[in-house]
Amino acid sequence: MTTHFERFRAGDAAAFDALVAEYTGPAFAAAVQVLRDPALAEEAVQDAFVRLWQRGRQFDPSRGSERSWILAIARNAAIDLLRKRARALERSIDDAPSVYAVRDPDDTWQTVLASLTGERLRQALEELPAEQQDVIVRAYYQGQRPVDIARELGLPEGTVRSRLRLALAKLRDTLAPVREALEP
Amino acid sequence: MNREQALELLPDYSLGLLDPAEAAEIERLLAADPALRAELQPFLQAAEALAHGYGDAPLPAGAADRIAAGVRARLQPPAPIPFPAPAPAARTPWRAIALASAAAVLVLAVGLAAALIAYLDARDDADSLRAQLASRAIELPLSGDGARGAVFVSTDFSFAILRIVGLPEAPEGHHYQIWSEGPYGARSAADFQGANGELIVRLPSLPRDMTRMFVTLEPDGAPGDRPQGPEVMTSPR
Repeated sequence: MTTHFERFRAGDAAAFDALVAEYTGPAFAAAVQVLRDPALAEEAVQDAFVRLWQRGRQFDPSRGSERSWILAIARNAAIDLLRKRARALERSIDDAPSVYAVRDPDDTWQTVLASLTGERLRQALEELPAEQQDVIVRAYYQGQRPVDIARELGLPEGTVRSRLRLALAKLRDTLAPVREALEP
Repeated sequence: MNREQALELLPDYSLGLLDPAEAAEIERLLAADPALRAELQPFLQAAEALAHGYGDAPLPAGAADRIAAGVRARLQPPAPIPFPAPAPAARTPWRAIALASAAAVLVLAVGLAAALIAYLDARDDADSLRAQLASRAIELPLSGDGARGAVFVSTDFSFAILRIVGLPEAPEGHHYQIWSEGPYGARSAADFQGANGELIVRLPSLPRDMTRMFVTLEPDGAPGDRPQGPEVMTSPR
Protein backbone atom coordinates (compact mmCIF):
# COMPACT_ATOMS: atom_id res chain seq x y z
CA MET A 1 0.00 0.00 0.00
CA THR A 2 1.30 3.45 -0.87
CA THR A 3 1.91 5.64 2.18
CA HIS A 4 1.19 9.35 2.45
CA PHE A 5 4.94 9.94 2.55
CA GLU A 6 5.49 7.98 -0.66
CA ARG A 7 2.72 9.94 -2.35
CA PHE A 8 4.21 13.22 -1.13
CA ARG A 9 7.65 12.25 -2.39
CA ALA A 10 6.10 11.38 -5.74
CA GLY A 11 4.77 14.93 -6.00
CA ASP A 12 1.22 14.53 -4.69
CA ALA A 13 0.64 17.88 -2.96
CA ALA A 14 -2.49 16.77 -1.12
CA ALA A 15 -0.57 13.95 0.54
CA PHE A 16 1.49 16.36 2.64
CA ASP A 17 -1.52 17.45 4.71
CA ALA A 18 -2.38 13.80 5.27
CA LEU A 19 1.25 13.10 6.21
CA VAL A 20 1.16 15.92 8.78
CA ALA A 21 -2.07 14.54 10.22
CA GLU A 22 -0.63 11.00 10.35
CA TYR A 23 2.61 11.91 12.10
CA THR A 24 1.59 14.83 14.34
CA GLY A 25 0.90 12.51 17.26
CA PRO A 26 4.10 10.42 17.06
CA ALA A 27 6.23 13.50 16.31
CA PHE A 28 4.73 15.30 19.30
CA ALA A 29 5.50 12.29 21.51
CA ALA A 30 9.13 12.36 20.33
CA ALA A 31 9.46 16.12 20.81
CA VAL A 32 7.78 16.38 24.20
CA GLN A 33 10.02 13.63 25.53
CA VAL A 34 13.04 15.80 24.76
CA LEU A 35 11.55 19.19 25.67
CA ARG A 36 9.14 18.25 28.47
CA ASP A 37 7.04 21.24 27.56
CA PRO A 38 3.93 20.75 25.39
CA ALA A 39 3.98 24.28 23.95
CA LEU A 40 7.63 24.00 22.94
CA ALA A 41 6.97 20.53 21.56
CA GLU A 42 4.27 21.95 19.28
CA GLU A 43 6.81 24.46 17.99
CA ALA A 44 9.35 21.71 17.39
CA VAL A 45 6.80 19.59 15.52
CA GLN A 46 6.05 22.52 13.24
CA ASP A 47 9.79 22.92 12.62
CA ALA A 48 10.03 19.21 11.90
CA PHE A 49 7.31 19.25 9.27
CA VAL A 50 8.86 22.27 7.57
CA ARG A 51 12.15 20.34 7.45
CA LEU A 52 10.30 17.30 6.16
CA TRP A 53 8.81 19.39 3.38
CA GLN A 54 12.24 20.75 2.46
CA ARG A 55 14.08 17.42 2.66
CA GLY A 56 11.46 14.78 1.93
CA ARG A 57 12.86 13.96 -1.47
CA GLN A 58 16.19 13.07 0.06
CA PHE A 59 14.76 10.12 1.96
CA ASP A 60 16.17 6.83 0.69
CA PRO A 61 13.91 3.93 1.72
CA SER A 62 16.72 1.41 1.23
CA ARG A 63 18.62 3.00 4.13
CA GLY A 64 15.97 3.24 6.77
CA SER A 65 12.30 3.19 7.62
CA GLU A 66 10.01 6.11 6.92
CA ARG A 67 8.82 6.21 10.52
CA SER A 68 12.32 6.23 12.00
CA TRP A 69 13.44 8.94 9.60
CA ILE A 70 10.48 11.21 10.29
CA LEU A 71 10.70 10.73 14.05
CA ALA A 72 14.44 11.41 13.89
CA ILE A 73 13.62 14.74 12.23
CA ALA A 74 11.15 15.52 15.01
CA ARG A 75 13.69 14.55 17.65
CA ASN A 76 16.40 16.64 15.97
CA ALA A 77 14.07 19.64 15.81
CA ALA A 78 13.32 19.26 19.51
CA ILE A 79 17.00 18.93 20.44
CA ASP A 80 17.78 21.94 18.29
CA LEU A 81 15.15 24.00 20.07
CA LEU A 82 16.36 22.80 23.45
CA ARG A 83 19.96 23.74 22.72
CA LYS A 84 19.06 27.08 21.19
CA ARG A 85 17.12 27.97 24.30
CA ALA A 86 20.12 26.98 26.37
CA ARG A 87 22.23 29.19 24.11
CA ALA A 88 24.56 26.26 23.77
CA LEU A 89 24.32 25.92 20.02
CA GLU A 90 24.84 28.64 17.49
CA ARG A 91 24.28 26.47 14.45
CA SER A 92 21.38 24.23 13.75
CA ILE A 93 21.94 20.49 13.89
CA ASP A 94 21.07 18.63 10.72
CA ASP A 95 17.74 19.51 9.22
CA ALA A 96 17.37 15.92 8.25
CA PRO A 97 19.24 13.02 9.82
CA SER A 98 22.28 12.56 7.61
CA VAL A 99 23.23 9.39 9.47
CA TYR A 100 20.86 7.56 7.16
CA ALA A 101 23.09 8.41 4.24
CA VAL A 102 25.89 6.28 5.69
CA ARG A 103 23.61 3.46 6.70
CA ASP A 104 24.12 0.39 4.54
CA PRO A 105 20.92 -1.00 3.05
CA ASP A 106 19.77 -4.06 5.01
CA ASP A 107 16.38 -5.45 4.05
CA THR A 108 16.34 -7.99 6.87
CA TRP A 109 16.85 -5.32 9.48
CA GLN A 110 14.05 -3.30 7.90
CA THR A 111 11.81 -6.34 8.32
CA VAL A 112 12.86 -6.54 11.98
CA LEU A 113 11.93 -2.90 12.45
CA ALA A 114 8.64 -3.29 10.63
CA SER A 115 7.56 -5.95 13.11
CA LEU A 116 9.06 -4.22 16.14
CA THR A 117 6.47 -2.94 18.59
CA GLY A 118 6.93 -0.28 21.23
CA GLU A 119 6.31 -2.88 23.88
CA ARG A 120 9.04 -5.18 22.54
CA LEU A 121 11.52 -2.31 22.30
CA ARG A 122 10.78 -1.17 25.85
CA GLN A 123 11.18 -4.78 26.99
CA ALA A 124 14.59 -4.89 25.27
CA LEU A 125 15.56 -1.66 27.01
CA GLU A 126 14.55 -3.11 30.37
CA GLU A 127 16.84 -6.05 29.75
CA LEU A 128 19.81 -3.68 29.75
CA PRO A 129 21.71 -3.13 33.00
CA ALA A 130 20.18 -0.15 34.81
CA GLU A 131 23.18 2.12 34.27
CA GLN A 132 23.16 1.45 30.52
CA GLN A 133 19.42 1.91 30.31
CA ASP A 134 19.78 5.27 32.06
CA VAL A 135 22.37 6.65 29.64
CA ILE A 136 20.52 5.46 26.54
CA VAL A 137 17.27 7.06 27.73
CA ARG A 138 19.06 10.30 28.52
CA ALA A 139 20.98 10.33 25.23
CA TYR A 140 18.28 9.22 22.84
CA TYR A 141 14.96 10.21 24.34
CA GLN A 142 16.13 13.38 26.07
CA GLY A 143 18.81 14.44 23.59
CA GLN A 144 21.52 14.86 26.24
CA ARG A 145 25.14 14.77 25.11
CA PRO A 146 27.60 12.47 26.90
CA VAL A 147 29.35 15.46 28.43
CA ASP A 148 26.07 16.65 29.97
CA ILE A 149 25.13 13.18 31.16
CA ALA A 150 28.56 12.81 32.74
CA ARG A 151 28.18 16.13 34.54
CA GLU A 152 24.72 15.24 35.89
CA LEU A 153 25.73 11.76 37.01
CA GLY A 154 29.15 12.78 38.31
CA LEU A 155 30.88 10.29 36.05
CA PRO A 156 33.86 10.55 33.71
CA GLU A 157 32.71 11.27 30.15
CA GLY A 158 34.56 8.17 28.98
CA THR A 159 32.42 6.03 31.27
CA VAL A 160 29.25 7.46 29.81
CA ARG A 161 30.48 6.83 26.26
CA SER A 162 31.43 3.29 27.17
CA ARG A 163 27.96 2.65 28.62
CA LEU A 164 26.34 4.10 25.51
CA ARG A 165 28.43 1.86 23.28
CA LEU A 166 27.60 -1.24 25.32
CA ALA A 167 23.92 -0.34 25.50
CA LEU A 168 23.59 0.08 21.75
CA ALA A 169 25.46 -3.13 21.04
CA LYS A 170 23.36 -5.11 23.55
CA LEU A 171 20.14 -3.62 22.32
CA ARG A 172 20.94 -4.59 18.79
CA ASP A 173 21.94 -8.10 19.89
CA THR A 174 18.73 -8.45 21.90
CA LEU A 175 16.72 -7.73 18.76
CA ALA A 176 18.96 -9.86 16.55
CA PRO A 177 17.21 -13.20 17.27
CA VAL A 178 14.18 -11.77 15.53
CA ARG A 179 16.43 -11.01 12.62
CA GLU A 180 17.89 -14.52 12.57
CA ALA A 181 14.41 -16.02 12.56
CA LEU A 182 13.63 -13.97 9.48
CA GLU A 183 16.72 -14.95 7.54
CA PRO A 184 16.47 -17.96 5.23
CA MET B 1 39.95 13.87 13.91
CA ASN B 2 41.76 10.57 13.46
CA ARG B 3 40.32 7.08 13.09
CA GLU B 4 40.58 6.24 16.79
CA GLN B 5 38.72 9.38 17.76
CA ALA B 6 36.08 8.62 15.16
CA LEU B 7 35.66 5.09 16.54
CA GLU B 8 35.12 6.56 19.98
CA LEU B 9 32.42 8.89 18.67
CA LEU B 10 30.44 6.38 16.58
CA PRO B 11 27.73 5.86 19.26
CA ASP B 12 27.28 9.63 19.61
CA TYR B 13 27.11 9.93 15.84
CA SER B 14 24.54 7.15 15.50
CA LEU B 15 22.35 8.88 18.09
CA GLY B 16 22.62 12.25 16.32
CA LEU B 17 24.34 13.92 19.26
CA LEU B 18 27.34 15.45 17.47
CA ASP B 19 27.46 19.01 16.29
CA PRO B 20 27.47 19.51 12.51
CA ALA B 21 31.25 20.01 12.23
CA GLU B 22 32.02 16.80 14.12
CA ALA B 23 29.39 14.87 12.16
CA ALA B 24 30.82 16.13 8.87
CA GLU B 25 34.32 15.08 9.93
CA ILE B 26 33.14 11.58 10.80
CA GLU B 27 31.27 11.32 7.51
CA ARG B 28 34.47 12.26 5.68
CA LEU B 29 36.31 9.41 7.41
CA LEU B 30 33.43 6.97 6.89
CA ALA B 31 33.40 7.68 3.17
CA ALA B 32 37.02 6.56 2.88
CA ASP B 33 37.03 3.69 5.38
CA PRO B 34 34.72 0.69 4.77
CA ALA B 35 35.85 -0.98 8.02
CA LEU B 36 34.88 2.07 10.04
CA ARG B 37 31.59 2.12 8.23
CA ALA B 38 31.02 -1.53 9.14
CA GLU B 39 31.68 -0.69 12.80
CA LEU B 40 28.97 1.92 12.62
CA GLN B 41 26.16 -0.22 11.21
CA PRO B 42 25.12 -2.06 14.43
CA PHE B 43 24.96 1.26 16.28
CA LEU B 44 22.81 2.77 13.55
CA GLN B 45 20.52 -0.23 13.57
CA ALA B 46 20.06 -0.02 17.34
CA ALA B 47 19.49 3.73 17.14
CA GLU B 48 16.87 3.23 14.47
CA ALA B 49 15.08 0.68 16.64
CA LEU B 50 14.92 3.24 19.46
CA ALA B 51 12.46 5.29 17.40
CA HIS B 52 9.90 2.59 18.23
CA GLY B 53 10.16 3.23 21.95
CA TYR B 54 8.46 6.60 22.32
CA GLY B 55 5.76 6.50 24.97
CA ASP B 56 2.27 7.80 24.44
CA ALA B 57 1.93 11.55 24.77
CA PRO B 58 -1.64 12.74 24.26
CA LEU B 59 -1.84 15.89 22.19
CA PRO B 60 -3.10 18.94 24.08
CA ALA B 61 -6.53 20.17 22.99
CA GLY B 62 -6.35 21.92 19.64
CA ALA B 63 -2.66 21.08 19.15
CA ALA B 64 -3.17 19.10 15.95
CA ASP B 65 -5.04 21.99 14.33
CA ARG B 66 -2.50 24.56 15.54
CA ILE B 67 0.40 22.51 14.23
CA ALA B 68 -1.25 21.90 10.85
CA ALA B 69 -2.13 25.59 10.50
CA GLY B 70 1.37 26.65 11.53
CA VAL B 71 2.98 24.31 9.03
CA ARG B 72 0.68 25.48 6.24
CA ALA B 73 1.52 29.09 7.01
CA ARG B 74 5.23 28.41 6.79
CA LEU B 75 5.21 26.45 3.58
CA GLN B 76 4.56 27.16 -0.01
CA PRO B 77 2.09 25.03 -1.92
CA PRO B 78 4.06 21.85 -2.75
CA ALA B 79 3.49 22.06 -6.48
CA PRO B 80 5.21 24.75 -8.53
CA ILE B 81 2.77 27.54 -9.34
CA PRO B 82 2.19 28.16 -13.04
CA PHE B 83 3.02 31.71 -13.94
CA PRO B 84 -0.21 33.60 -14.65
CA ALA B 85 -0.98 35.99 -17.45
CA PRO B 86 0.54 39.46 -17.10
CA ALA B 87 -1.08 41.63 -14.47
CA PRO B 88 -3.56 44.31 -15.55
CA ALA B 89 -1.99 47.60 -16.46
CA ALA B 90 -3.60 49.56 -13.62
CA ARG B 91 -1.25 49.92 -10.67
CA THR B 92 -2.38 49.80 -7.12
CA PRO B 93 -0.26 51.69 -4.59
CA TRP B 94 1.39 48.60 -3.16
CA ARG B 95 2.68 47.70 -6.60
CA ALA B 96 4.34 51.05 -6.95
CA ILE B 97 5.88 50.65 -3.51
CA ALA B 98 7.14 47.17 -4.28
CA LEU B 99 8.72 48.23 -7.54
CA ALA B 100 10.30 51.30 -6.02
CA SER B 101 11.65 49.50 -3.01
CA ALA B 102 13.07 46.60 -4.99
CA ALA B 103 14.81 49.16 -7.13
CA ALA B 104 16.10 50.96 -4.06
CA VAL B 105 17.88 47.99 -2.60
CA LEU B 106 19.53 45.70 -5.09
CA VAL B 107 17.94 46.12 -8.45
CA LEU B 108 19.94 44.14 -10.91
CA ALA B 109 17.06 42.89 -13.04
CA VAL B 110 14.16 45.28 -12.78
CA GLY B 111 11.92 43.27 -15.06
CA LEU B 112 11.65 40.45 -12.56
CA ALA B 113 9.97 42.69 -10.01
CA ALA B 114 6.91 42.71 -12.29
CA ALA B 115 7.00 38.92 -12.29
CA LEU B 116 6.92 38.94 -8.51
CA ILE B 117 3.88 41.16 -8.54
CA ALA B 118 2.09 38.90 -10.99
CA TYR B 119 3.01 35.97 -8.76
CA LEU B 120 1.51 37.68 -5.76
CA ASP B 121 -1.67 38.33 -7.70
CA ALA B 122 -2.06 34.59 -8.24
CA ARG B 123 -1.80 33.55 -4.60
CA ASP B 124 -4.49 33.01 -2.01
CA ASP B 125 -2.32 34.60 0.68
CA ALA B 126 -1.31 37.48 -1.57
CA ASP B 127 -2.41 40.16 0.87
CA SER B 128 -0.17 38.82 3.59
CA LEU B 129 2.81 38.46 1.27
CA ARG B 130 2.23 41.91 -0.15
CA ALA B 131 2.21 43.40 3.30
CA GLN B 132 5.55 41.83 4.04
CA LEU B 133 7.16 42.57 0.71
CA ALA B 134 5.56 45.89 -0.10
CA SER B 135 7.75 48.11 2.02
CA ARG B 136 11.10 46.83 0.79
CA ALA B 137 12.43 43.72 -0.86
CA ILE B 138 15.91 42.64 -1.88
CA GLU B 139 16.20 41.25 -5.36
CA LEU B 140 19.09 38.89 -5.92
CA PRO B 141 19.48 37.81 -9.56
CA LEU B 142 20.48 34.26 -10.46
CA SER B 143 21.89 33.06 -13.75
CA GLY B 144 23.29 29.89 -15.19
CA ASP B 145 23.62 27.98 -18.39
CA GLY B 146 20.45 28.93 -20.25
CA ALA B 147 18.46 29.68 -17.09
CA ARG B 148 17.79 32.93 -15.29
CA GLY B 149 15.83 34.03 -12.27
CA ALA B 150 15.96 35.84 -8.98
CA VAL B 151 15.41 35.45 -5.29
CA PHE B 152 13.22 38.13 -3.74
CA VAL B 153 14.07 38.37 -0.06
CA SER B 154 11.85 40.17 2.44
CA THR B 155 14.04 42.69 4.23
CA ASP B 156 13.48 41.03 7.59
CA PHE B 157 14.75 37.84 5.90
CA SER B 158 11.74 35.93 7.24
CA PHE B 159 10.92 34.49 3.84
CA ALA B 160 11.85 34.74 0.18
CA ILE B 161 10.50 33.82 -3.21
CA LEU B 162 12.57 32.11 -5.87
CA ARG B 163 11.63 32.53 -9.51
CA ILE B 164 13.47 30.69 -12.26
CA VAL B 165 12.88 30.50 -15.98
CA GLY B 166 14.47 27.98 -18.32
CA LEU B 167 15.78 25.42 -15.85
CA PRO B 168 14.94 21.99 -17.29
CA GLU B 169 13.47 19.26 -15.13
CA ALA B 170 16.12 17.49 -13.06
CA PRO B 171 17.33 14.21 -14.60
CA GLU B 172 15.98 10.96 -13.18
CA GLY B 173 17.34 10.35 -9.69
CA HIS B 174 18.29 14.00 -9.15
CA HIS B 175 16.80 17.19 -7.79
CA TYR B 176 17.85 20.81 -7.58
CA GLN B 177 18.81 22.44 -4.31
CA ILE B 178 19.16 26.16 -3.58
CA TRP B 179 21.72 27.29 -1.02
CA SER B 180 22.70 30.46 0.73
CA GLU B 181 26.37 31.07 1.39
CA GLY B 182 28.02 33.22 4.01
CA PRO B 183 30.50 33.10 6.89
CA TYR B 184 28.65 29.99 8.08
CA GLY B 185 29.46 28.12 4.84
CA ALA B 186 26.65 26.85 2.61
CA ARG B 187 23.18 26.26 4.02
CA SER B 188 20.28 24.66 2.15
CA ALA B 189 17.14 26.74 1.62
CA ALA B 190 15.00 24.23 -0.28
CA ASP B 191 15.10 21.50 -2.87
CA PHE B 192 12.91 21.37 -5.94
CA GLN B 193 12.45 19.84 -9.34
CA GLY B 194 12.95 22.05 -12.37
CA ALA B 195 10.24 22.96 -14.83
CA ASN B 196 10.37 23.39 -18.55
CA GLY B 197 8.73 26.79 -18.28
CA GLU B 198 8.71 28.92 -15.19
CA LEU B 199 9.12 27.87 -11.59
CA ILE B 200 8.23 29.83 -8.47
CA VAL B 201 9.09 28.48 -5.04
CA ARG B 202 8.60 30.07 -1.65
CA LEU B 203 11.70 29.80 0.54
CA PRO B 204 11.89 29.84 4.34
CA SER B 205 13.86 32.41 6.32
CA LEU B 206 17.41 33.08 5.13
CA PRO B 207 20.51 34.03 7.14
CA ARG B 208 21.02 37.78 7.34
CA ASP B 209 24.75 37.43 6.77
CA MET B 210 24.48 35.51 3.51
CA THR B 211 26.59 36.81 0.68
CA ARG B 212 25.50 34.64 -2.23
CA MET B 213 22.84 32.17 -3.33
CA PHE B 214 23.35 29.33 -5.76
CA VAL B 215 21.57 26.28 -7.17
CA THR B 216 23.11 22.81 -7.48
CA LEU B 217 21.97 19.60 -9.11
CA GLU B 218 22.05 16.93 -6.40
CA PRO B 219 21.58 13.14 -6.55
CA ASP B 220 18.48 11.93 -4.66
CA GLY B 221 19.55 10.44 -1.36
CA ALA B 222 22.46 12.86 -0.90
CA PRO B 223 22.78 14.04 2.73
CA GLY B 224 21.60 17.49 1.72
CA ASP B 225 23.53 19.35 4.39
CA ARG B 226 26.26 20.47 2.02
CA PRO B 227 26.46 20.83 -1.76
CA GLN B 228 27.78 17.77 -3.56
CA GLY B 229 26.59 18.27 -7.13
CA PRO B 230 27.56 20.86 -9.73
CA GLU B 231 26.46 24.47 -9.50
CA VAL B 232 23.96 25.30 -12.22
CA MET B 233 22.99 28.84 -11.23
CA THR B 234 24.48 31.52 -9.01
CA SER B 235 23.98 35.10 -7.92
CA PRO B 236 26.90 37.50 -8.56
CA ARG B 237 29.89 36.76 -6.37
